[in-house]
Amino acid sequence: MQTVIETKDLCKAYGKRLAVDHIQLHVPQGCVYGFIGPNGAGKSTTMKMLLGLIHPSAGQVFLLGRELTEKNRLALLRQTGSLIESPSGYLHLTAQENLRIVADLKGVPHKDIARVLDIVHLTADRNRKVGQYSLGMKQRLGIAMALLGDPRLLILDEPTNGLDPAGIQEMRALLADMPAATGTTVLVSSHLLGEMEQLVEQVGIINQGKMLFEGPLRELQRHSRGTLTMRVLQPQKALLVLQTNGISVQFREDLLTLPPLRDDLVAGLVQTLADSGAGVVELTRHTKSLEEIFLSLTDSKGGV
Amino acid sequence: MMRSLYAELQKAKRRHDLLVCLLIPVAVLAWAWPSAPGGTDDLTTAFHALFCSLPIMNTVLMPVGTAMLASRLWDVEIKGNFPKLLYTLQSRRSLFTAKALVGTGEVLLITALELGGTLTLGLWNGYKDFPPAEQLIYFFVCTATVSLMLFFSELLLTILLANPLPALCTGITGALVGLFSAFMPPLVVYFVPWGYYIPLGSYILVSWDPDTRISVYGIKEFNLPMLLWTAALGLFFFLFTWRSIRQKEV
Amino acid sequence: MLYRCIQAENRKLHASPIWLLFFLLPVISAGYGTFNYMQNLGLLTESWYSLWTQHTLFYSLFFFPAMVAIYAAYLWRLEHLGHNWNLIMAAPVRPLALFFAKFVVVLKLVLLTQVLIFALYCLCGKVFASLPGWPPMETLLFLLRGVLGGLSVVALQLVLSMLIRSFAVPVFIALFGGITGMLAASRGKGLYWPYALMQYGMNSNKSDDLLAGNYLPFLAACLIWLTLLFLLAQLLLTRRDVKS
Repeated sequence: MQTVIETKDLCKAYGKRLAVDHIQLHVPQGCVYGFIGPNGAGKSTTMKMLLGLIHPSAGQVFLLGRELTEKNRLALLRQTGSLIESPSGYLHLTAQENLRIVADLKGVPHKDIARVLDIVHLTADRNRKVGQYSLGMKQRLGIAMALLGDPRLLILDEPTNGLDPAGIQEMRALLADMPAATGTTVLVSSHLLGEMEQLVEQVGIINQGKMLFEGPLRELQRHSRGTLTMRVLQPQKALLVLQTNGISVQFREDLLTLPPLRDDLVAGLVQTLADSGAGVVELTRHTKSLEEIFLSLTDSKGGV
Repeated sequence: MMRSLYAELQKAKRRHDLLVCLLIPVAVLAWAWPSAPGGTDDLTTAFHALFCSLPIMNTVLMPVGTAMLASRLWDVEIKGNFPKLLYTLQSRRSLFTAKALVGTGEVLLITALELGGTLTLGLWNGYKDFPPAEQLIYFFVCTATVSLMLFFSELLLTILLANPLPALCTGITGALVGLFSAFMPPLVVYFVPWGYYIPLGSYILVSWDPDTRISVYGIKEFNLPMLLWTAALGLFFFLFTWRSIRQKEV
Repeated sequence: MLYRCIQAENRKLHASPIWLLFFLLPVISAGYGTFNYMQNLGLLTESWYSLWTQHTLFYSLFFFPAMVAIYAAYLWRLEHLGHNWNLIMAAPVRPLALFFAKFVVVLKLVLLTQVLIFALYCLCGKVFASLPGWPPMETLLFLLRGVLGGLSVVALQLVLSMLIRSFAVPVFIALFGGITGMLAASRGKGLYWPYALMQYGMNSNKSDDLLAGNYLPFLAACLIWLTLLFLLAQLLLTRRDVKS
């Protein structure tokens, strides 16, 4: 799988503070990548460096397989759509006119405007001045600008800001479908972890300028294996087996609580318990929510 | 490049830019018309008198006028929160070139309207000393060069500080200092760019008799070194603005 | 209620570069005035009065309106940017109170400028021009009249900046207004035009008093213009929808 965005030791210093501290980002092609971190973690700064809006203090950015330089920046960005922080829009012009300017600058035919207006549901309001738009509508216009010309890569910074619940749901559906529908790779940042869990395949977790974790969401969830609870017919037999296998276990109200274990270990354990005649009737794995994982990651600042 | 210019012109829609451009020559003419010679005055030197007073009017109005043009040109991006998107769509060079071209066009238009209006005013009043072509060209070039120099200095301020306030404050202060420099010893003028209209003017008041109230006007030689210096200063501001657009982080 | 509005406006001015302008214009004006006075001692024979005209001529003709325009445009720009219009119109205050608060804040700056001008006038007169005695009491009166005449300029610029979202255009209009005021005043029509009232009050182009024994029409003109402009502001603030 080709890597669409890659950074090598990307740094940005403001004075002595490292806002972005040796970030290695790998966004594979055709996925939705969630860039997650609390406010002020360095998400926007990193995304601005990906777009060449600000210059890295150190490190390199590779977009679509080529190193981003001042020379090829625009050629690369023509294939990119972006929305950074608050949306842009000339307040004295209508949405249609704003999109026309962006389309002209991107070199995209004007007929694409109707398509993107339709996607973000602004067709009915296209002839109103952007100055009269609500925050959510401006946000949707910003997304429409990013979508113009079917970019191969979308970089969206907190795109659900200011949207109502229905709008958030639509946005998620839209982004989740993008890789399959048009082959577009999406990098989307958020501080809301819940909304990411249903959307992204790959995640990068950043805090205080440092990357805490990067990889498939599944792996993050696997790393985040929670405890196991087990109900058996013969608790005493089970306890004996478990203790001989060196597993610390708690027994309360006919439920055995086991510490987090690897999948193959669990499978073996169930087999042994069944053979011993303990009678396994129920086994539940508690997975930590992304929030919990994130809290544990940011607390310890260490590996997962 | 054409694309950027076209986008720039689209932004001008509904901003009444033409009206704003008209406001400046209208202000100059509204001032020049009532104070211009007419009726019983000596019409054989009336154009002399008119062209002698125009640089002073320009000194008062143009520093603020060009600040208005410059700040409007950039303020539209600030208000729309646009630079960060624009920089992903077009090169900073093309954005700057488009802005510079539109601004230069506006300044040239204003200068042409001012000159045209002045000549119309003179002909209307039956002035007899219509200036020779080289004087008109010289006046146009000088006025446009100084205005462009001021325009780029103010564009620079607006872009550097992302706010129209400093450019306008500078414009007003500059107009005041420029106006004062006209009444200061000749050397002072060279240090006050906002008042460069006055030393560049070729029509001058030679003498004025307070008793008979008769003014004698003359034409001095073209001040080409000063014109070159003004152009060089303008170029400096132009390049400096270009540099600051290129390096600005958003 | 009004007091809170004024406090809020005052706070918006804090740490704003406007203060630089507030110092710069009077100082430049005074520096030039004193210099010109010293150069033309032969022509300018009326000591303190002559110095007064030199100090305040260009200031009251062109730059007072432009300076007021910057103050006014700055205060309104804060509302024009972002969604502040909604915020302030939704605040539990009457719309005109808001306008009046801005009026008071600009007026405060104008008063301070006038005081600074007078201080510089006294200083330059004593230290550089070594004029005898102290400035005539009349000049204080001129200052006060200048403020009275300036009230309508303040109100007019606040209305303009409220209507025109651009920062720069009202400022240029003010400069232009100053010129039209000068032209109106030179034709004796100054009382009919708000931009001329301040120039009348300051009495800065002649050493004999423009308003000598003629205060009633001047005061009436100030009052009428001010009332008209406030009515206009009230009308605009209540009838127009909030656009932001």
